[in-house]
Amino acid sequence: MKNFERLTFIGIALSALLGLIFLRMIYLQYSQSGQDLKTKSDRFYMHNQKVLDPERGAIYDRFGNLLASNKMVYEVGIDLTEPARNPYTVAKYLSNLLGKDFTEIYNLAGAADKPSLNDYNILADFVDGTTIAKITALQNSLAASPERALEGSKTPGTLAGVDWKPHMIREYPEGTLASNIIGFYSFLDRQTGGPHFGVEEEFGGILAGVGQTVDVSTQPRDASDIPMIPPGDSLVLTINRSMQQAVEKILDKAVEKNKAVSGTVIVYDPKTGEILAMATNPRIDPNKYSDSWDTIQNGHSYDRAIDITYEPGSVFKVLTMASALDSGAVTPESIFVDTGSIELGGYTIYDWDRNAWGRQNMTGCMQHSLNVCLTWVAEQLGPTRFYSYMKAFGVGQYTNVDLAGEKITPLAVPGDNNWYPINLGTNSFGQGLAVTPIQMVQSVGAVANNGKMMYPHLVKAIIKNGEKTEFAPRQIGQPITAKTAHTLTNMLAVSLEEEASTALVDGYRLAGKTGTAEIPSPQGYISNVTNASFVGWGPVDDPQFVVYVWLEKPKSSIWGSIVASPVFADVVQQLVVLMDIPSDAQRQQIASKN
Amino acid sequence: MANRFLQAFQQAPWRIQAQRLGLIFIGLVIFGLTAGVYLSISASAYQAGVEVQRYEFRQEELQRQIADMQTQKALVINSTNITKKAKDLGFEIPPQDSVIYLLVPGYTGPQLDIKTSPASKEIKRSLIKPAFTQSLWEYLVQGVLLMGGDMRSGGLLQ
Repeated sequence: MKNFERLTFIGIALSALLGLIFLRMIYLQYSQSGQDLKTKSDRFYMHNQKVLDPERGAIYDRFGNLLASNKMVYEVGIDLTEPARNPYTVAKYLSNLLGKDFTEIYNLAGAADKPSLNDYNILADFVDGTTIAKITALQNSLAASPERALEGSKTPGTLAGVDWKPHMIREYPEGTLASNIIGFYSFLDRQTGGPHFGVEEEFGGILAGVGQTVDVSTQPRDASDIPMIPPGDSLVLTINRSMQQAVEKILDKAVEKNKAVSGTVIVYDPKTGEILAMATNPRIDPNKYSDSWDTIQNGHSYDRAIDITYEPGSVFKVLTMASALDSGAVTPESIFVDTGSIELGGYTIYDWDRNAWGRQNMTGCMQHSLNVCLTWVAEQLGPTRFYSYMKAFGVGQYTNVDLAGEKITPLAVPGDNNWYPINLGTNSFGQGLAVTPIQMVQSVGAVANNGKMMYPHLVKAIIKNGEKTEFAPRQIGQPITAKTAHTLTNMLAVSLEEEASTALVDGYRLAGKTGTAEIPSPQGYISNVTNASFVGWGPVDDPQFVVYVWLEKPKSSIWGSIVASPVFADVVQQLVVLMDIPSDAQRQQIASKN
Repeated sequence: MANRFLQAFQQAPWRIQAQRLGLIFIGLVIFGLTAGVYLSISASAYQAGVEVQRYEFRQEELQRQIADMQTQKALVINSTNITKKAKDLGFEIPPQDSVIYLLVPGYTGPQLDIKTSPASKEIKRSLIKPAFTQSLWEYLVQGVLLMGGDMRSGGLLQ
């Protein structure tokens, strides 16, 4: 009986203990701390965090030709925990294929067998698909006949442990073409690489898209749909690839022929503000940006069309004359007797040849590019009106062109510490102030577009998730009337025709102005070194393009009329074909038939 | 008397034993069947999950390949190659004075031509129904909770 009671007691005690354990298990399972523990273990052991980087958006020209896209390359590495790993074979074969030093690969493949924190070493990165195909073939071949041990190796030849992972990098299929506009992505630095210059930098966020980090279950039964994150938005530029290519070719030849330090040509649609071509020399191949990295980092210009200001010289007279005509200060028939010099603010201003040109109307003043006459014209306007017009033309202000790195030099105006009365005279013929080519194109574009100044831009449309959104042309001001614009255009067409300029193109009536600007230095203007420019537009009866040419420090001749005007003509000859602009006579013929 | 009556109808011991064994056997069969179904469903779920993972990797790979091929195509038809090919075939940009223009009604010139991928989805959802991935315990607990909730709320139809 006593035994029975003892057994019963033990039985009850054990049952109670079991019950308590069971209750504790239920408590742990469903208590907050239990749930937290489950969440933690799920996060660390049942899930991986997967970073989803969207594909970087592409960049196209106006007809859909790819200018920037992405290509697949591979990171080749070796698993150091692979027991069959043979560093000698790996180094022997891969040093050739990967273009690396034998010893480097041999050591990376773990030949030294030193204890290491890494169990994976990267042998090479940015390896192309063809090389990977060769490695695969070799790996298979060695696996099929492992007895093919290499001379000098004690173990069977094998590429066991060699592995590769694909990743995307930026590629610029057109090489140097339009690289000043596109910019580049520093893809060689996989961790901190980013966009630099051009539209790559300006639209960096849009092109990059929005990445996501998602929890992915390591348990197959919990497989969930990994979200397909949309790629970054793509950009359609306003440039025409063929035109850009033609303009770059002409510019490169001109820079070489004239032994200029650099060159810039912009082709602009004055009606819409679209930049059809923007060529600079020198320019880099963005696929090999690392070759020019030091130069770029040292603050050298990347796109001279927007990031360098310079004294433009006589091309600026277009704006001075436009202002004077618009305000009524002068008319095309106004007469100025040029004595070869004029006094202003205690200084004497001379003409470019220091000669007296006698009686000149305003067309003559523009045709012969008379500094003395334009100083007089500015005086007729007066500083207040002159600078008011300059402000309306956007001189010294950002154009906000959609490229990264635009620079300006603010225009000194009366009241500023750096403004003196002589400035009115020098500014009238484009000295003592500094502009970028893009500023000049924007301002002169107003003269070519009935006085309406358009926003200069390079992005025509954005493609988001397969849907295209186009940017409408935007008028940003009207500094002069349409009548003034027509009058000045006609004056500049006449002046080109009368001087039989090398800028003329058969069959097309064009307007334009040369510029030869002295270059300032801390010691004063440098002798015999100039910036040669030309700005022109056409056809005069319906301007469809503005072309701006700037050659920096040409050595063949210092004169814009000699070095820059022919570049303008060469560009226009190509433009009219690529833009399908019939000659004046053909257009009149077509118009008369309708 | 009552005891004697009961004793008169008591099952033979071997029958009682057979009944008990039968019950245990039925229990084992039910357990085996349940475990079998459970294992089968789990195996199918795992297999489907592995397939899903494989397709996801393949999808990523294809996306990379599409981008890469577009780039390869662009490299083949870039302006330098096209110009060279055109020259080799005897084409050239015509001199501006030799071009004859014709007015073609309705022709608007070359237009933007980009082939883009269709818009992608961004929804994260489970590809395998929860019923296939829950343990029996989770299924039962959920069922009990659901029943409780239904009872409290007055049932599904309300």
